[in-house]
Formats: sequence, C-alpha cells, structure tokens
Amino acid sequence: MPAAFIPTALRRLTGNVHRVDVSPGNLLGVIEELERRFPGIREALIEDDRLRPGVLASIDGDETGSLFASIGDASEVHFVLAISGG
Amino acid sequence: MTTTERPRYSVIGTRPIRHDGIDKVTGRALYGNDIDVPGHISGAILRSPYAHARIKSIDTSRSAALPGVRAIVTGKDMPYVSPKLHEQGEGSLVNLGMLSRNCMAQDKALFAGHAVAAVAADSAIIADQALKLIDVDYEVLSPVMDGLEAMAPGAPVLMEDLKTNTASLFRGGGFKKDDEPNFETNVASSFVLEIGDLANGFELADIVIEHDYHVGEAHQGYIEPQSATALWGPDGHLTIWCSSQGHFSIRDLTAGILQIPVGSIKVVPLEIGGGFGAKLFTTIEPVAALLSMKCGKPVKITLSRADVFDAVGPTSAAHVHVKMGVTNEGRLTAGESRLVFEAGAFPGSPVIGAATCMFTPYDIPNLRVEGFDVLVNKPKVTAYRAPGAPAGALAVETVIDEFCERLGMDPLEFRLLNAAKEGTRRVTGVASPRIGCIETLEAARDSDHYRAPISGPHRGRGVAAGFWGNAPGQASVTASILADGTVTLVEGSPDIGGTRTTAAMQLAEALGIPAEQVRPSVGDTDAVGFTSLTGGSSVAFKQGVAANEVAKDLIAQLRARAAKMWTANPEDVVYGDGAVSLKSDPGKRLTLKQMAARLNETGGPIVGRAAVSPGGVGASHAVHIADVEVDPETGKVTVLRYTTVVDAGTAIHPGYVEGQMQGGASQGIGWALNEEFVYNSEGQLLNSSFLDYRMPTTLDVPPIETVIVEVPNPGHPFGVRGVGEIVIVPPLAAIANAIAQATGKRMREVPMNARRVLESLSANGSSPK
Repeated sequence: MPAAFIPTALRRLTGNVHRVDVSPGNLLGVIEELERRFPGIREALIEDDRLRPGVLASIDGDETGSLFASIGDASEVHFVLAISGG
Repeated sequence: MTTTERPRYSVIGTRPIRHDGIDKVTGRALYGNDIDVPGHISGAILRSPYAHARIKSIDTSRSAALPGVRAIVTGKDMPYVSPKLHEQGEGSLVNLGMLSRNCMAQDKALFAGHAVAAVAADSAIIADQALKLIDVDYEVLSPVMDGLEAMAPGAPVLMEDLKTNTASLFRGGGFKKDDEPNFETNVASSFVLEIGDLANGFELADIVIEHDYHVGEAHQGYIEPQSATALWGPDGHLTIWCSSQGHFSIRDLTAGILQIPVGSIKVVPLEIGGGFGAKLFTTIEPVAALLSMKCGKPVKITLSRADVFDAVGPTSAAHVHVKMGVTNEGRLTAGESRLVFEAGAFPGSPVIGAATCMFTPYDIPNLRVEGFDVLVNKPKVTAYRAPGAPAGALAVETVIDEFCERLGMDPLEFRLLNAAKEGTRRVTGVASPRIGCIETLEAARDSDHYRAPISGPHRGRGVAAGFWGNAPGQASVTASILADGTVTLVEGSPDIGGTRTTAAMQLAEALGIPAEQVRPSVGDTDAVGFTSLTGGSSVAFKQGVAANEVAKDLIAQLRARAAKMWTANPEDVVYGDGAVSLKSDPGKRLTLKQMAARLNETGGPIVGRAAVSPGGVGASHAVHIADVEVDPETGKVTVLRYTTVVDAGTAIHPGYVEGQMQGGASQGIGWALNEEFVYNSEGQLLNSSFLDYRMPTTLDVPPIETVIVEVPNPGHPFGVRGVGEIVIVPPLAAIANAIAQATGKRMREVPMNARRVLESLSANGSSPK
C-alpha cells in the first residue's frame, strides 16, 4: 500500500500523524484522500488546481510538480520544498 | 579518475573539440553587447543612492527636454503586478509582483542601486546626461543591513504589507491580503523540517558541539555584465536579444511583468559570459522593452561593472547556528540548525538549499532545521552555484572536524562511518536513491593528495564533503538529417560550460556516429519548444534525455525508409553502430550517411523531435581536500594544494566536468578567503569593482587536481548527474578545517581573510603548529 508522509508544517492538520497509508492512483487522488481524513490539507498543498508554487511532491525519490503523477502500489509520497538551483 | 559500473561507450567519455570553440577563441561568438540592431539607441538606468528611501516624487521634465532623449520610464510606467501571496506567478518561487518592483522601484527605493528611472537616448553620452537631469525627491529612511538585526523588534521595515508565510511548506513571501491584520515584519517566510526524535538523538550523544557561523555575501563574478536589446515593433510584437540562463524564462517573466501575452514576445539567446545563477531571471529586459515601446526604436541597455555589483544581486549572506551530537564510537546521533538567510530587498533567499543539503551526506536519524527568509536593504539576492549549500556545509563540516579531533579519528574514515547511502532518510524524509557518497569519500581517501604527507610549520590539511540535489526541468529539441549525413540539433538551453557539445555527444552516442557529425545550435523561443533554465545542474541531464529520445525518433524513421528501399517489414530492420541493416539478410546494410544521400527518393526530409520532462534526477556528492599555509605575521592564507572529488554519474565530456570542478573550487577558494561585499553605515556598497572586490587570480590558486567518480545515475539513459553546482559546496569548510589544522584556531566567519585570521591568532594567544 502506498504511503504519504506529512511534512512538519502540515502535521497540525493531521494531529501530528506523519505517515498515512493511501490508495494507488495519482497524486491528486492521494491529496483528495488526505483531505477527506484531514480537512484543510488540500488547501495547504493545492492552489488554482495545481500544486502550490514552491511545493513539489517526491514520489519514490522523483520530484514532480504534476498532480497527475502516478502513485504505485508501494510508492512513497513526500511533499518537499522546491529548490532553486544556480 | 575512478570508474565504476559504467558501460562501454564510443562517444561518451571522449574529449572532442567543442562545436562553438573556434568562434569563442577567435572572438566571433556574439554576446549580449555584440548585437547592434539597426537603428538602435542607448538605454541607461538611474539608481537610488540611498539604501532605504521613500520616493516622494520624480520630475523628468528637464531630462525630457534634452535634445536626443527619446523616452523616459519610471515606476509609474510599469503595469501593476500584484505581489500578494495568492497571486504569485507559476514559476517556482518567483513572485512576479516582487520581480517587477525589483526591475523598477515604485514608492520606495529598497537598496542603494535600486532602479528608479530609465532613459533612452540617441547616444550613451546623452543618456547619461539625461539621467543627471531627473529630479527625484527622496525621504531618506534608516536601512537595516543584517538578517538578525532585521528580525529584531523595532528594526526598520522594508515593506509595510509584507506577510510572513508559514502556512504551507515554503513560498517566496508576498504582501498580505487586504483583509488580513497589519503586523510589520521583515521575515518573508519561515519553515521547519524534521525527522526522528531530536531530544532523544542528543541524549544518545556523548559529545555535543554547537556554534554560530556567518557567511558574507559573495558575487558570482561572471565576466559579462547583463545586456539586452529590445524592439517593440509596430505590430505589437516584442523581440529581445540578450544573454541569459534561460531565454524562455526571460520571455515568460517579461510577459508577466509587462502584462502582455507570451505569444507576443520572441527572445533571441546570445552567448553568455558566465552566470552561475545570476542570470536566471529578468532584470533589465522589461525596462528596455518599455523604453522601446515609448520611442518605437530598438533600445539597448548594457550594465556597467558597478551596476552589476550594486544592483543585480550576489548570493545571500547567512547566519547559521548548528548543534550536533556524536557517540564516543563516532556515530552521529542528532543534528539541529537555525538558518537566517538574507534575501536582499525582495523575498527569495536560498535558505531551502542550505536546509535540505547541509546534513544530507550523513546518515543522521534525528534532524531538525528551521529556516528564515529575511529582507534587508541590499540588492535582491540571486542564485550562485548550489545556492545556500556552501554556508550550511561550512557549519556541519567544521563541527564534524571538531568531532574527529575530539575522538582522534581520521576525518575521512569518520565520514565513511556515517556516510549516507541508498535508503538513508534525508531531513525532508525522502529516502536517498543510488548515490555516490561513499565512493567519493573512498576516492578522496585513496587519492595521491590525501596519501601524501603534509609537513612544515603553519601548514594544515582540511577535508569537507558536500551534497547537492540537482534539478530536472523540461527540454525540447529537433534534429534533422542533412544530405551529407550531418545531423543538426536545435535545442533550447543557453550554452554554459559546453552544454551544446554534451547534448551533441549524447545524440551521437545514441545514433552511433562521431560527435563531429552532429552540429548543435541553440534556438530562439520561436525556433524550438519550451526548455527550462540552464540552472540547477540540469542541462547535461535533461538534454541527454531529449537527445536520446530524438535519436529514437530518427532511428524509427530511418528504419522505415530502409524497409521501403528493401521492401521489408520495418520490424525486420535494425539500427546499430550508425547503420541500418536487415535482420534476414545481413549483407543489406546502409550507414546513416548512405541513407542521408537517399532521403529525397525515400520520402523527403527526416526531422526528429523530442519534448521531455524527465524524472530520475541523480543527486551529486563531492569531497574536497585543501592544504594551506598560514602566515602568522600577516594572517594571509596560501592554498598549497587542492583536490576536488565529484561523482559525475557518467562524465559525458570529462574535460568539461574537470572544468566545472576546477572553476567551482576556484570560486569557493575566493569566497572562503577574500570575497565579500563591504557596505558603509548608510548601506552603500564600497567595493563595486574587481579592483576592490578581490577574486582569486591564477597566482592565488594552485592547479586544482580533479578526481571524477562515476556512479551512474539509474534514472538517466547514460547515467548523468549534474556537476555544475556541487563543486562549490565543500570549499569553505575544507579551507576552514585546513586553517584550523594549521593554526589551532577555528574560523567561523567567512571570508577568512587575512584580518580575521590575524585576529583569531591574536585572540587568547596563537597556537600555530
């Protein structure tokens, strides 16, 4: 079962739960599932139907800004800070 | 050079002459200021002499009356772009409203050098005269020039409407919404990252060390000042010629700042004389465009060296507090840091880079990093190779050096004991994929340099490790097969460090032809599809993916053509070693060149395309070794020997990788020992020239020895990892550790110039070895 890891800044919404089992599918589905369990988390991650500026998802180590990125049966999803390179 | 796990390649790993080499060494290559669009006139920018001042009024009447003046622009001419948090642009951390105000001040000048007006005139001399005739009435305010002071209660506030963003993960700060309460602050953003149980981690430790560090802002030191020519045509289309680290970014940001459609702008990239992160975003292009719109002529703005220092933005100055714990057996148990990074006058420091990289070379189960992005009355900072990471590495790597001293352990063996590997959790919680941390440490340990003894008075050796995550991005390319077998490759990444050639080499490898048979060029924004910035050490990675994909497209078309010629099924035609052949009849074989000569007979031109947005970025690790000698009379530090070890994944062109390693190390040595912005009490920069801003010359830097480690990135068709930024992460710490070995004194303020070294030797008596 895939797992979503909640970043420190959002654990106030999850009662300090940092790891949540979720269903496979895509990233948007994971966030919607988190929203059903922890209201407010969608707004913290999504703005204008996209991941908020400065937020990326790391799915199995690959960073993506796409809400349509696939989530596999054993995927790990982290929400991370976008880094500007030089 | 050490090589592990690498397949056999015919082109990759060789050192062909770069395709643009002749043009560059003979002076034929065209840089930003080399373009002279017919009929162009000169633009110039008036800058605030004050670090913090309210602009009460600007009177341009005397300037406008000067013969030869064609247009004048002030903040009032800039379209309104909201800097409110909820209306940020789409591009990573860029807040277009803030970027617009950085290009041209509105109601306040926020740093000495902030643009307040611009003029276009028939000549540069007239433009300069015209600037002197602009009357600006300022109300001078107190500046705040240090991040910690800017966070203190009662500090001067740069933006009364600024809102500290803590709601989500991290965003570039912006103005509060209209219905939100007023609370004046200079903190644009703050965040916390943590894994494990920090308190428990420190309880497990036998030794705990904590210190404060300060790193001054350093300039990227690129040779070419920014230059842009803009022509706003009568049809409403805008063309911009400029050198940058991403002409698509310049296009999109200019469109956002001027509030015009992206489709009405074409940006033509010119060669770039260095950027290192400072030319990622737009500065003068929207101003040149507005001047052109007003006068109907092409307008060229070229910055002076003083402008570059005063106004464009160095990297961030940073205060770093770090605390770490270790057991008597040498196991790291906990790490904690508080990072205060100066953003300059607008939000967006590289504090995230420091936070996410500083502990990552190590397997430390309990971590906490708190970061702050703070406004001060200095130029808006820009990126500089691995933004933020060198300051974080300085703190962590020097504390580790102290642990080694206390425990009597070899610094590289200690690091190997604690090294991150596949599966190690980073402070973000993400598990490391396949990385080359251990391999770089082993290569450093086994290097000629580390095995050679260092002896003599006042001499010491320091080592430091570093991490940088690298970036992915998008890339678009087209490739055409010409009748003589040449393959042209049009890509969209401005070429820094030979990236045309590395793209061409990866295409050549995939096609099985020599690199010289590929002719690469960089297309303008109308000539090739969107390609993201030349930044984040992304180009060799993403262009390699695109090259591999476009090769597949070309090969599929070649196979179809051969099948047509041989009346065979395309599935029976194979491609290898630069030729198509028929599986069922190996005698039937045509090279790419032979096929190219038959294009018209078999269906016409062959053009391949690829547009990619790849995952699979491979992170980079590095270890540097520095030997120094300290003059106890003057405090001068001489670098005697320096070695840089980097995991390149696969070195496409080893010569270019070595160039990045040597360049990054040299810049790091300069930052470590000399380079620093010096301001007076009014916030004016005192050393805005290369005479007073002391970068190292060839006389200051020994030959930089390079060891390329190759732990192929499994996420890339050829195993590439970026190398452009990791190279500057370890030098500050490596040199600080070397000075400590030489003198017995720990330096915690960068640059470690002669004055500071001498002061440290004088404090409580020196103990040089």
